[in-house]
Amino acid sequence: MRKGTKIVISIIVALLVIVGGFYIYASHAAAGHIPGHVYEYTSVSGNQKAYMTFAQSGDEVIVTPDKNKALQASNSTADFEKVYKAQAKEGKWNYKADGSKLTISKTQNKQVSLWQYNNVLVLGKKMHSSSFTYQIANAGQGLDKKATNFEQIK
Amino acid sequence: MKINNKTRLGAGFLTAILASAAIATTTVAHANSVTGSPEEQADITNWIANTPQQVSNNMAMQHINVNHLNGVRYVIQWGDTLWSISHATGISIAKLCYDNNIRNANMIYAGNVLILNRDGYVPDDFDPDIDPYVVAQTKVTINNGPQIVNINVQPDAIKQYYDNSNNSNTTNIYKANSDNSSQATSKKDDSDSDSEDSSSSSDISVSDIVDGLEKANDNDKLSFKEADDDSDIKDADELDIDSDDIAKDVKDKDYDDLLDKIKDALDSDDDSDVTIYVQEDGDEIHIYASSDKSDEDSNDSEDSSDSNDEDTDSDSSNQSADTNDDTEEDDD
Repeated sequence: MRKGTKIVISIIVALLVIVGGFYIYASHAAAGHIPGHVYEYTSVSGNQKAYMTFAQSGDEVIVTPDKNKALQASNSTADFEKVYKAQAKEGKWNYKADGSKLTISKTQNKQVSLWQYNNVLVLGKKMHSSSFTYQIANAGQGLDKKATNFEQIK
Repeated sequence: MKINNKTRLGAGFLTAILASAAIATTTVAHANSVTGSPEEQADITNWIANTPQQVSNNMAMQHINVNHLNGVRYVIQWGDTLWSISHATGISIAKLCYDNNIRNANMIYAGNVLILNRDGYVPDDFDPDIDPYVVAQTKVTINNGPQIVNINVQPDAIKQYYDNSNNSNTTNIYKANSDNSSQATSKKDDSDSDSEDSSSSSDISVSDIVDGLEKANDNDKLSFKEADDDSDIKDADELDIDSDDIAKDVKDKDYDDLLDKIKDALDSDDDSDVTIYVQEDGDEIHIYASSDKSDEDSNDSEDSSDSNDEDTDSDSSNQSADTNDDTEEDDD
């Protein structure tokens, strides 16, 4: 084998390793990046926003359309608990990030709804999900192959 | 000259096609502002309670002046709650319920029309049993892909909830309320079809209660049957449960709570199989318990209702989160 060919193959292999390594890292980084931060979620249609403040520890998350409230909740653990309790009457929200999946649940009147975001890639302050699986109480269940985005705002 | 005319004609025809397509697109987009595609309907933003400010914005988009609410029609949007609508309009929740014949707040639907009327009064005895913080529901089951899915990454709180409530996830039904009620109330007549947004205990049949209790039950020694006549309950004892409490649980469809009351009323030391009979007497629901021995005589007449109950259970479990993997799909 010629020296030039060997160099080209080596470069390709190195690139594959770098890209593959980055993909594996990005697709398994959600659990480490989320706690204690506020994310702006953009809906499937692109014209709806929601704000999610993830607890510093534990599995609680505040999900609200009110950006100020979400930011306020991230100031301290006490602020988080205060907002979380105030919003509990509208449903309790929890989350779990594991591997490339992020699931957010809502419990209200003993009914549980779940949204599992699949193939979550963490790219700096942005998270991208290529699809989501849902089970919504008294509404439906299924798999939507529509991309959604989360952007860390705090 | 002929060529010019043809060209003009062709250009006009093309313009007409493009214009009609644009108009159609606009119409569809407008119609979808509430309902949306299944992907949009399932989006989590639709299931987060709107703030009163968002409701006010929605009303402004519908050209509603909140200072002149005298029978104005408002199209309920995703995320709306009676609480947020009440705060946006200044109309009390009771008034909203009374004017719109809402007796169960779990049954307001996105896309439905809500009459906003500041004038008038609410009778003192009007006491809707509602949770004003429940977001608007859907009338049509949301699905455009696999019928059954599995969500394998679940928050710890949800796992604990399922563990504590002992398989209570089977009470989660992942299809639209209207679909559920059409199954459960198939025996009813259609005279109240214009008030499908609401339900009361008197609208719920005894068979619905039996079905609900069967689904909530996790005790093999308990079974539930409908008492067709007094002969069914001649050997049974009526349980000491307040009829108002029963009515409230039935109205809320809170069969877990009703089951707890039944268990409390039963003799906890008795290990024998117990059949619970549910009987309707006018507006009141009575619940009776019969031990295994006295139940055997009536088994024959109840077989058909048993099989119906089982069918309903299996149907429900097929929609639950923990259904088996054989038909499940997931996007890995």
